[in-house]
Amino acid sequence: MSSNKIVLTSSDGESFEVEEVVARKLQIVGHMLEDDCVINEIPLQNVTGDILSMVIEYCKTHVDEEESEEAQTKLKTWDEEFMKKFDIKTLLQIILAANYLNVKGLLDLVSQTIADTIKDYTPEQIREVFGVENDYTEEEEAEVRKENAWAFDEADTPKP
Amino acid sequence: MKNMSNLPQDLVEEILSRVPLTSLRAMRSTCKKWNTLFKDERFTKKHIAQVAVETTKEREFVAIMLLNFRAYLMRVNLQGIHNNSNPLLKPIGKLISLDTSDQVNISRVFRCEGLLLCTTKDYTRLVVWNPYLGQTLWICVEPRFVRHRKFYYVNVLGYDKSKSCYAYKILRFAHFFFEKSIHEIYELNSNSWRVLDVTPHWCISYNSHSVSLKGNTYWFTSNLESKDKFLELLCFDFTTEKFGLHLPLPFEFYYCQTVTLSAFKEEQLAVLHQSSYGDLGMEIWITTKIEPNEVSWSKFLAVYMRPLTGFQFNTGGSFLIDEENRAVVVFDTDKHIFNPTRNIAYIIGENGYYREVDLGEITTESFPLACPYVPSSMQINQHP
Repeated sequence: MSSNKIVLTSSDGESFEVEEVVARKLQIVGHMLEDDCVINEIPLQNVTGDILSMVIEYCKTHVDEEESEEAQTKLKTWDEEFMKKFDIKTLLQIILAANYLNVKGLLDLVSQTIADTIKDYTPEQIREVFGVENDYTEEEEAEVRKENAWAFDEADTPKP
Repeated sequence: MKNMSNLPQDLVEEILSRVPLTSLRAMRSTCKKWNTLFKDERFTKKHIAQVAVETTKEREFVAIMLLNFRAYLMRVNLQGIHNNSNPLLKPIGKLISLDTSDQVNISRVFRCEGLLLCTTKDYTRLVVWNPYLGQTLWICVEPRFVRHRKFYYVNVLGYDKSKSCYAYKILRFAHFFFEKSIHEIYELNSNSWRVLDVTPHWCISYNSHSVSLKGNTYWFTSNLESKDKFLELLCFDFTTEKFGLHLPLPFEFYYCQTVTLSAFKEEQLAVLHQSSYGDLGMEIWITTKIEPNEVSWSKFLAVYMRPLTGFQFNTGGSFLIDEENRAVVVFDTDKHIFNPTRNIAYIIGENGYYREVDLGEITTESFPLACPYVPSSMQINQHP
C-alpha cells in the first residue's frame, strides 16, 4: 500500500492530512482516487471539520481490520468507548457524514448507537430529537393505543 | 437543535431497523408515517432480519417465559458454559397492558410461530397476540360445566395450509372419562365455535404440554385402550381438522416418569424424558423428521441427574434447547419438591455441565414455563 498523503478539506475550510489508506476508508474518496490518481487534495462539501475529524479518527482505528477474535474484541471495545463521547445531536451529524462519505462500518455503528439511545425514549422525546411532528388526532392516538394494547415492556422486569 | 427531519428516509429506516423488540410501541406512537412503516412488509422483514443478526452475533436466542402468571420476553445466552462465566437468562420485557382494566395475568401461553395464544388466569378470555405487530384478538370464553363441575378446555392455535393466506383456527377440547368428549374449532375470521366429530380412545390432560409445528399441534396422550402403550405422541392436523396416527417415541415409557415436549428450531420437536428411580437419567431427543403421521428421532443429550438435582422434574419441566452450546435449560421449581419456594432454571450441558439460575420467589400457584420465540410480521386474520 502506498504511504501517499492525502489532504481532506471540510466545508468550513479545515484541512486534515491523512495517509491514503485511511482516506480510502471513505469510499467517496476511494472512488475519486480511482477516477484520477493524481489528486492529493480533496474538498468535502457536506461535512464540517469537527465531524470530519471524528470520521477520520474512526477510519484510522479501523484501517487494518484483522480477522482474529482478539483484534475484533479490541475494536468492538474501542467502538463502544468512541460512541460514548457523543450526544444524540452529534450522533445525528455523524450518521449524515458517514452516509455522505460512505463509511459502511461507521454507518452501521452509529445507526445501532442511535437505536440503542432512543429505545428508552417516550414518543414525545423521540419527536423532539427527530423533529417529527405528532400528526395524530386524539381519536387516532386512542386507536393506536388500542391497537398496541399489549406489549412487552422493558420496565419492571425482574433482575435475577 | 439539528433533528432527524433532515435525515433522508433510508437513514431513518437504517436506525429504526435496529430498534429492539421492546421499543416498538413507542416508535409506532411517534407519528403516522412511522406507524405505517412498522406495518410495512418490506420494512418489518428488514427489521426482523436485523433482530436475527443481532441475536446470532451474540450467539443467543429469545424465549417467552411465564412466571407467576406473568409473561416475559427473555434473552438466553449460554456462551458462559465454555468459559466458566455465568450463563445469561435475562428478562428484557414484561407483558403490560395500556388499558388498566385488561387482564394481564396469564395462565397459559401457546406459541404458533409468531403468534401467541394466551389464556387469562381467570379463564374468561383467550387472546391471540402478535407481540411483534402489537396486534391482539380477544375471544370471550368460559369453562364448561358438566354435572355441576367446572372443566377447562385445552386451547391450541394452528392454521389451515390449504388456503392461499394462512387461516388461523383455535382448537379447544375437554376430555371426560364419563361423558362424550368435546372438540370445537374457532376460525378467527368466522367468530364462532363449531363442533368437531371426534371420538377419542385416548386422553390429553389439561396440563399436557403441546407444541405447534408447521401449523399443526403435537401432544402426548394417554391411550385408554392399549395396555402396553401408555403414552403416545399425537398430531392434530389443522388443515384436515383430524387427529393423526399415534407416533412412536424413541424410549420406553413407564408410569410416573417425566416426559415433556418442546419446539426445537422452527421445524423440529424435542422431548425430555426422565426416569423416576435409580440415576434419574434424563434424555433429550429431537426429531430428524416429523409429519402428522411420521416421525424419526435422534438423541441430543443424556445425563444422569441424581448427582445433580437429586430429584425428578415435577412441574412438567418445560425446556429450551441450545444446539450450539449443546445444552438444555429446564424450568421447574426448586429441589424441595414438597414445599418449593423458588422458581429455578436448571442448565444442563455436555461433559457434566450443570448450573442453577434462581428466577425468584414462587408467589402464585403456578409453574414456570418457557418456549422459544422468533418474531414474525404475520397478521392475525381480522374479522371481515
